[in-house]
Amino acid sequence: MLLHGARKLDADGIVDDFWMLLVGDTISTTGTGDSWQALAPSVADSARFDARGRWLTPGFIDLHAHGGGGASFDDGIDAIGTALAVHRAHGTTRSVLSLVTNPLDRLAENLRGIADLASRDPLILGSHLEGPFLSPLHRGAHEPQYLIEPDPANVEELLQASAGTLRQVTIAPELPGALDAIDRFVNAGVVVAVGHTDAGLEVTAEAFDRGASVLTHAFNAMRAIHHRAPGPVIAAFEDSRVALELILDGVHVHPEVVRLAFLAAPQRIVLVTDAMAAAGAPDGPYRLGSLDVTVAHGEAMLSGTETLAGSTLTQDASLANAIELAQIDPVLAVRAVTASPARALGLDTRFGYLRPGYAADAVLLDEQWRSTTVFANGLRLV
Amino acid sequence: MQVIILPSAAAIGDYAADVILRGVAERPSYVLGVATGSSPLPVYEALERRWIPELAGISAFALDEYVGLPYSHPESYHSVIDREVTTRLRLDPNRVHVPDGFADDPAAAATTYETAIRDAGGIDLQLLGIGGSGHIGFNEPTSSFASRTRIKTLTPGTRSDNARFFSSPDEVPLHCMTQGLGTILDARQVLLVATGEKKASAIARAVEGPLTSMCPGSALQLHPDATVLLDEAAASELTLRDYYRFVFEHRPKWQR
Repeated sequence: MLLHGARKLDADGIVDDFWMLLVGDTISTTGTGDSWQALAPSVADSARFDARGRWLTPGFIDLHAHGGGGASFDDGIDAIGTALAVHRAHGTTRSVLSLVTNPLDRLAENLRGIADLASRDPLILGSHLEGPFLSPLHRGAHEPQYLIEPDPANVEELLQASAGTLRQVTIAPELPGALDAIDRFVNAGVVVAVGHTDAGLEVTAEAFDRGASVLTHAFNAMRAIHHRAPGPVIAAFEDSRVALELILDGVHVHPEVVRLAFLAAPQRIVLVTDAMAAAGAPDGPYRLGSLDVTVAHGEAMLSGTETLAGSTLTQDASLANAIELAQIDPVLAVRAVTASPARALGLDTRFGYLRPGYAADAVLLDEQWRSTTVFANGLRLV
Repeated sequence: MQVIILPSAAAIGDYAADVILRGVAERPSYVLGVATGSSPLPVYEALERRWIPELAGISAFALDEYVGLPYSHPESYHSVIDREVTTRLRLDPNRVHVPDGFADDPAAAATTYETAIRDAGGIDLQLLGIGGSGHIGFNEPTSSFASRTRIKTLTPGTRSDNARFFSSPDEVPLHCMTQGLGTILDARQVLLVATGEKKASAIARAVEGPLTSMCPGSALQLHPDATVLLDEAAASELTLRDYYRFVFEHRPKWQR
């Protein structure tokens, strides 16, 4: 497949009249202008794509989503397929599937299911256990009765069930045994995120020193920044090893605070959807894990409360919000859905850039940053 | 020699990171000479902060290592390089080399290290700090300008400088294995970083003093592409400060 005439936008910058040749699952060559015509004889007419008038970005990578299209990643293979289809149509080419807190055996079963899927679908990067090792004080939309401490037996059971496909785990580092659990997960190659936590600056910094490297949806479900008690967000700002997830739907974090985060850690912001089942689906009643959620005007809340219960974002909408609502430079904004999440997972030598040797994942977007065409692993999805 | 005075350690780090990344862009199999100590830390910090994959394919060679200190010791340069450089810059550990100061036959190990540098294609850019005695690497005063990687005896001054990293001064090893001044001069580009008043005298002697083995850093005057990055304090004893600023402000594009 040869895409040409596009306005390329990735973490390396903007390049007009850009072309790239996809061979198999990889970007083989890139260039500008009509130099692609030298390659044209070897590329069938039907395998050429005129992308004039569109933005071309790397495929988006979502570290944190729970569902979409009315379905949740917690509900088995068919539900996962339904939800992924929505996000893929909106430019997310590689996904980490997030699981909300459930009983341990249910989580283990979900992990096994995702392990099986991930072995067949290269677009699934693995699973993210957002629970059950969370603070009851900042549980958000996680069922409190299933929250447990990260003791070694629990950690081992989950690691074993995931068969090496557990990509990320969110832990409240102040819980008993949490720091040892961080060691164990990091040694197993799992990216540890601090989140749903009552930890302050010091405990969070200690978790980062033990190898935790992400802050799960920064600002949400944790202590706020206070001038005498800086809290976990400042700990993450200060540590250049750490990525900060942000939910940029205009509701979870005020756009001015988004700007502050991009100023403090421009390269390390990762725009996640934290999407629940209502992403790409109508308002109405939904389930998140074992909890009832009501979605109205695209805002998901635990029924009868004002507790946010995930978003209804897709990543192209996050990108549009970053650029238009928060006025973030487009190069930094696109970085936050491509190169930075790739880097957060340690996968940035393969994903996140439109460079030769990188995965053939790409999104074409219109002037309003709506995704119109999506390529993943060398194949056109939409 | 190019002398560049910058406002802060962070600005020095960013400047050096830009130089290194321009080199890596031209040559993906780049070979970076890395140094321990506090001086190069802003450079590593700047590279780490960029959050980029560019360094995944490069090789690195450290300047020196203590002799007889187990590599598991947190102050062995194997440990320090692993902690401060390999991990933070996400280098491929298989391509990061540190002199084998714990070898049974240190002389043979020193020769092997020289060969490994040559086999990697030579060092593209050598990062350096400078000691109060004017030493670069562990090349203490009176080191030969033609020296290669070899065993040296640390001066009492260097040992007491480094004692803060050990539980007692006696624990600081007596000997080290270090790239020689000749090895350092073979690097295609040299970038010396110094910050703070304590370095001002050594910098003045290395940059503006006579070529002398009494100040090993002065050997850099013989290097065709050496750059010295300083903050105001480290530059404070230089005579030609205003001239260096004038040169920097009027650099032609091709020299940047």
